[in-house]
Amino acid sequence: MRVISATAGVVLLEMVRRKDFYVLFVLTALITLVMASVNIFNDDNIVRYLKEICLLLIWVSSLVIAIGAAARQVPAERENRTIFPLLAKPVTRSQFLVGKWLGCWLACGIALAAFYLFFGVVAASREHAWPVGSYFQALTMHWAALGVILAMTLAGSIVLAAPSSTVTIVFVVVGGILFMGGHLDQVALRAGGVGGVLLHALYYAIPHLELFANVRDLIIHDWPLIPWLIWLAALFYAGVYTCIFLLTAWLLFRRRALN
Amino acid sequence: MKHWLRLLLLLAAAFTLATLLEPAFRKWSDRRAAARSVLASILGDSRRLFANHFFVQADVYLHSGYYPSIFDESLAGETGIDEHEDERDHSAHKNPGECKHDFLGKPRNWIDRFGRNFFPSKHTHLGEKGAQAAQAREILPWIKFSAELDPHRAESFTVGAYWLRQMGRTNDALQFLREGLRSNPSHCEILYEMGLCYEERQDEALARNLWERAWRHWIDQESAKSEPDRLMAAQILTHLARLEVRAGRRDRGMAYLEELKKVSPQPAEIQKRIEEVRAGLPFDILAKPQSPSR
Repeated sequence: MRVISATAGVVLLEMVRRKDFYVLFVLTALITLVMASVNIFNDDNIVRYLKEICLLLIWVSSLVIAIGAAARQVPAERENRTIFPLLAKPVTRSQFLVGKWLGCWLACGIALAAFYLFFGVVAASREHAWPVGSYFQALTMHWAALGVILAMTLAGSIVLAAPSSTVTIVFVVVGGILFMGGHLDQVALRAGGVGGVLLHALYYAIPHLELFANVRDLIIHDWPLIPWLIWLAALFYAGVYTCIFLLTAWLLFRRRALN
Repeated sequence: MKHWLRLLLLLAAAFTLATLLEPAFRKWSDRRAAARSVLASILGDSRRLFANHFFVQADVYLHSGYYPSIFDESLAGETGIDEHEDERDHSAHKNPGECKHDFLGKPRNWIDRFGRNFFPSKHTHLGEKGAQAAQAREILPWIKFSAELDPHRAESFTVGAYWLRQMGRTNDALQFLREGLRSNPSHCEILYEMGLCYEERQDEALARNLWERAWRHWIDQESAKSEPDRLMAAQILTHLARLEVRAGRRDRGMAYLEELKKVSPQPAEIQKRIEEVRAGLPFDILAKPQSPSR
């Protein structure tokens, strides 16, 4: 565990030093504040459109941070040849992978906390309410979804040659799941035949990240809290997929030549 | 001396350059001023697409996020919640029982059942009750963005004005409709909605003028069409008839009701109203004839 936390600590430090988060945070804040300054029939209490824009920007920014960070972890170590002394410590390949994932995940958690704090302040300034429970559920589910995406990206970075191709492919896959994932069974019904069966299989196989992204609508439209047991089940669901992707990454990485 | 000469030369060059550039700059700035907004200039014709999306987004907000996706629509063979309701009779939203809103149906599988905990899956409306009408203000940004991007979409103005009126903000509604009228002069729906605003401000003379204008424009624009907008005509005529009957001009009121009989799918009902007015009974708008099918 100490080895994993040490590796994660290094990743966390590297993420803090990088400028991705700061640039994306400033952009999110700037766009949100510009949108907040728009005069809508002289009504200062209109808030939902602002929450929608802000949460959308937070999701996009968090995906950029998470996928960008995870995609370069393994290739960068290999390119700089720092992976050899690291694995000779001895650090096992599984510890190396889990450490990298944990570091990225913690960094994403810190970034999300900052983003959601900003979101909470903006929303509270208009609606004079602070639904902490809802925000906490949204943040934790967002963070859990990022855990899955980070593990998926780490697995992809081992198979694919360059970080750029990993980033592109993972973005396409995650985008596809977010937009289509929940409706694949409906498409499968329409398609029928072998294609339909394959689509159905895909529907049950993929991690349904859209469940986590949909929580935005509950926050935007002031819906009540998700039952806590359901929330816990969602976190468990994300945890299972994270483990599956980390296991896949390890299976791919354990016998791979490093040079 | 040399420095002075250089300075003079520079000044002369700057002046010459200014005289050359000034007309071009003026032309450019005039063109820029003519454009409605920076966003509209950037987006070009695709702004209509965005305007449509924002208009739908307003409906999504009205239903507190409970809205069918394109997949739900295609599977149900329907085109969305609003298709079941009259587009212009916005108060139709007040009776959810009248239309099909259960586009989700029964959960298809465990993922679908589980997923319904994470998005709005119950049909509600913003501003359903009088005291909560202010909640409907949340739809206004999308209406405004839609109107900004496509000012020729009259529906954005009328729907926005309707909700502003519901919130008791008649002046804002009128201002918004005037903006719409600038881009859509003589649009009968905007004129009709303006008439409603003036009626709410107890200015019945102006309301009558606007509805009469709306009726004239309806005849000009719609009557020759193979499928005229009969609902619009029915609404204009009903309001005009009621105004005239209330003002004691029963003959004119009956004339409007006769016109209404021609566009209504239930002329017998209208005939009953005509008889009632002829008999000296008041003309009740709340018991207005049913909306004709479009």
